[in-house]
Amino acid sequence: MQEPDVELSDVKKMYDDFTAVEDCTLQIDRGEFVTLLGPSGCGKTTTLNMIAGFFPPTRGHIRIRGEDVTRLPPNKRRVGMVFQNYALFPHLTVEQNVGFGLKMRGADRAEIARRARESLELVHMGQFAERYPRQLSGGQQQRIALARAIAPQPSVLLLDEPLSNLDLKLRESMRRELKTLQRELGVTAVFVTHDQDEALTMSDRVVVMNQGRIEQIGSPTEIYAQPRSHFVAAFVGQMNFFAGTVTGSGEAKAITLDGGAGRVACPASAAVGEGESVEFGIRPEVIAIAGEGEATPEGRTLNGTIEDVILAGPIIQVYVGLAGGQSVRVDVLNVKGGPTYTAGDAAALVFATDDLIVFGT
Amino acid sequence: MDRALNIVFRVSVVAIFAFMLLPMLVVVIASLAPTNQIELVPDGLSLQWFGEVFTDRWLRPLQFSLQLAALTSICATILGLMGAFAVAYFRCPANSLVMSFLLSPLSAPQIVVGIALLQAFAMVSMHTGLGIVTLLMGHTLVMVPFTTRMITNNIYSFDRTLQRAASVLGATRAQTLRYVILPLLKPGLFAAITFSFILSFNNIPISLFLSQPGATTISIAVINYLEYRIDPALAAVNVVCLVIIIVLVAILEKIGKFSHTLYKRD
Repeated sequence: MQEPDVELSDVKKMYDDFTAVEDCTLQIDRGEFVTLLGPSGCGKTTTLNMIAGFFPPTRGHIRIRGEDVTRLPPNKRRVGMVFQNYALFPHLTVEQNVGFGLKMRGADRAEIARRARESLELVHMGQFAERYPRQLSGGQQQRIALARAIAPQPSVLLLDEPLSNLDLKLRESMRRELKTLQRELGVTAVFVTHDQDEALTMSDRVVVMNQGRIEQIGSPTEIYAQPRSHFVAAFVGQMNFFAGTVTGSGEAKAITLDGGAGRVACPASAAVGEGESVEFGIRPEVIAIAGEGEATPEGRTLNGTIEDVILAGPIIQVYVGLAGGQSVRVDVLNVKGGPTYTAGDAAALVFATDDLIVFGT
Repeated sequence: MDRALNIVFRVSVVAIFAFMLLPMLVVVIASLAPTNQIELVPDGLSLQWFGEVFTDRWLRPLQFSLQLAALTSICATILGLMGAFAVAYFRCPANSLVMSFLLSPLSAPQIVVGIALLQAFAMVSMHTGLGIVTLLMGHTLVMVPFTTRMITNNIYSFDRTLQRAASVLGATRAQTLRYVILPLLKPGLFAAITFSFILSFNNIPISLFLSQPGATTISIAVINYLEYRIDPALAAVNVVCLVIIIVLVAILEKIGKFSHTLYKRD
């Protein structure tokens, strides 16, 4: 098997009494795009900074291309980094910024100029070479920062929320561009974000972090479809959570909802036994509201009353109150001539048993 | 309403400039007097008093002051740079204490510092014969608070991430200092050099106690002269000093661009 490009083994970082990162073990293959996803303070940026070498871990080892770099300073690691605030050198022109890494490594003048130009062309900023960073917009500065990071051909590209200072439209187009560029260059990328959309759309693998620990590692599809914990399910996408108790076993295994909202069949794969208190989730978009005369099979249906209807562009969010007071969100595609929903009407929520994601408690 | 406000604004600006510049104008007029009286409205113009300035009596202290101010500004800026680095870069709970200590010469009246220095130098028998050295030490002591503060502010004004960016790009600490930090500190360093030069050149309280025969600053020479007479020669000396300072500030500003932001905008 190929050796991982970046390897963290049992990395831990303490600040005085505060544990910022713990039990962090992760292997990243060459050319892979891996995202560290989590809320602020989850340790994702600390982890990235340790890969960059800004401070050593309290415990554990970091390897890049097989070399143990745990105690190496950043300038010896051959990583590239794009910072959230771009961190371009204000006293240098765009070209000098992009050539900085090559200059520090002692490349000759012609080589620096050639490679700087090449990198600028890659990010479509060739015509801005003589400008100063202050003369550029945020999006342009971001491209320069990217060009600067890739110009010295780093082993690993580290991206610290590089898109979060851009406006929404620009951010979305930059996502695709960044991903395309990374794939073309074949460079290993570690991307830090708190934005689940960025994580899902750009990554080969997503590492969901919470309170300094890794909650789950998986492809975007796995993370979305099979979240392993309440935290992952809640953080990535939308999720309706239910609490209940398991009854029966085998084929007859079911979950009785707390609050008397009903009983649903339990997926056979769920590793829970009779009498156990469980939590399960259903994503809003896999629930259907049964129309007139449509089937409402037992064990896959919950009855309630529509509380609220919100139009959110391509989808309509319908909030349905169940017996016991719980509110369930259902996302319905906003199609022309589709059914209309009115607050106060009764609604039967239908879903597939396989779409239930069961968490032990 | 806007118009009225605009007028008030313009008048205030003119008044403020007049307040600052008119005394200098008075000195310039006085220096041009044809008689040996200092008058606001002289009966005629003459450059005779400037001839007086270009004699050893004034040229010597003038030259001495320029040397002293140049050395002081360099020493105070280097020490200020070191102090600023220490305060800004070493994470230490005593930082604010160190900063207070560095700024402490500001809290005593300079005249008190001057007396104290004279006594201290006398105790170690350094009060005579060292000429410029004791003056340099005294001036540097009172300038360091200014230079430290100016350079510290400059360091705090730029983004710390830049150093990380440099180091990730392969720069060693020395390279980061040379290619990133020092260029960014240029305005602060030039401001520190300029202001410590001017403050040293114009200093009286410290110089008063540490000047000696053969090591007399221009300000002290003026005070000594004033004990015997007042005539337009003093005004002429003043004008020469003024011109020196203006030219110097203009040159330093041209090189260091410290009064503007560092960034080019157009």
